[in-house]
Amino acid sequence: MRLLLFLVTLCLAGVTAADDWNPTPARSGLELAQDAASTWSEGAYLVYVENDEDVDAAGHSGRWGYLFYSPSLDAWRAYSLGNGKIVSAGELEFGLEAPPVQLGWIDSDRALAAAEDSEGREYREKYAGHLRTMLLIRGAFHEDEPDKSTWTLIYDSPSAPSLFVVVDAESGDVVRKWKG
Amino acid sequence: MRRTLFILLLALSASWLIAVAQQPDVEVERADLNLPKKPTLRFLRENRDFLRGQLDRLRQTEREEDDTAKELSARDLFLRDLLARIEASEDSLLREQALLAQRDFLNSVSELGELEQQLNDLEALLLAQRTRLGELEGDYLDRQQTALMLILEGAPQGQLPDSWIVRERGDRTWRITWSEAQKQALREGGAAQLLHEFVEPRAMHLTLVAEGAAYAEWPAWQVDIVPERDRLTLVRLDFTHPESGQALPMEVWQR
Repeated sequence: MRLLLFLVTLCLAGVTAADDWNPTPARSGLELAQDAASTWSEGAYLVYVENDEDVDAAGHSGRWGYLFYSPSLDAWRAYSLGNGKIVSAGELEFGLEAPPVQLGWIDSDRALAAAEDSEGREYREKYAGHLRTMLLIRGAFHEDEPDKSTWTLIYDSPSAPSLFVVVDAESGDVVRKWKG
Repeated sequence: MRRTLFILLLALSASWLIAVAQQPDVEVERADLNLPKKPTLRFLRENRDFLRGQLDRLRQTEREEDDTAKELSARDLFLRDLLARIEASEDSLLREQALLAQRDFLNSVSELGELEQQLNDLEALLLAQRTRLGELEGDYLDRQQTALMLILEGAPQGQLPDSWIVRERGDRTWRITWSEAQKQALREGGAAQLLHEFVEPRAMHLTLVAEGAAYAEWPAWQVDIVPERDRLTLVRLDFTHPESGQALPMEVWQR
């Protein structure tokens, strides 16, 4: 019995060690990611950001993914950052023809707070849902002002269609919501 | 019969003991790649068609650049000022050189004084030049990007590789061919640069493959480094006595 408990503890230790990420907001890794992208290709710009680990109640994630595009190379390169370091880097096997994300976008904590106040919290409580993804992109989801960058927060539930909440990444206002 | 069997058993035991003694003492570990369990950009990968569909509805137009003057950065101003000072020094230097060229021999003590003054002026120009070089170096170091330099030192008694392949795991590959002068420098105890590149500030796992008849059967050497951000990381590899299957002695420092 003791041996079994010891073995189980060892296994759990292995699992937790591999997932030992310190949650931070999305902008925390931006400078390092941009630095690396500049080394890869002068003129590379940010086109997409997404949480690579689960997002907590404060809008922080243990890892964030940053996607850059290089016009000179016509290639996309993704960096995953966690614990203040570049955890992985590699070129994307497909393209994403997205415009550059504008500077000065609001951080993930502010975006989450806006989404939660709008309908996110209610959705989670009513349908036992959870926040699956936060993604930052320009042009894809803002119906009225497609030139603007937006955070899109996607909530999932086993008993209801997913909830999408789009937050203007400059003003922090919720600009669109839908279920599907 | 019993004796034969006994001798046979003895011989088998002895050979087994020798085999065990010759086995290298190894410890097997699982390599800690420290890779995250979840891949990056999962939603993007799983829903790329959806996102592309959203983006396909967009049309980008380039904004026209206006003709208004743009603000110069502090660095632009510094470089312009440096250039102006260099040009001014150049004029002074040319003038001093012309005066010195005109002088055939010293006619009087006063000319000795003039010569001394010219030498002092030249010394002042040199000092100003050193100062400017220091300012340029400071500017360069302040704008240092993450870079990596691999330096190989020493040459084994046998032949040097014809060329090298440096491969970064899952990423870039470089082929380096040394000139005869570089090879000679190595043979005489010097060092040669193997690689000098701007790199991303993250852990790098490099594989070095020596190419050439003498190294055809040799396995690749592994070099694991973490270049410091915004600094030049130098890695000196000792190639004096390379051994097949053994890591190259390595020294790492930053500038």
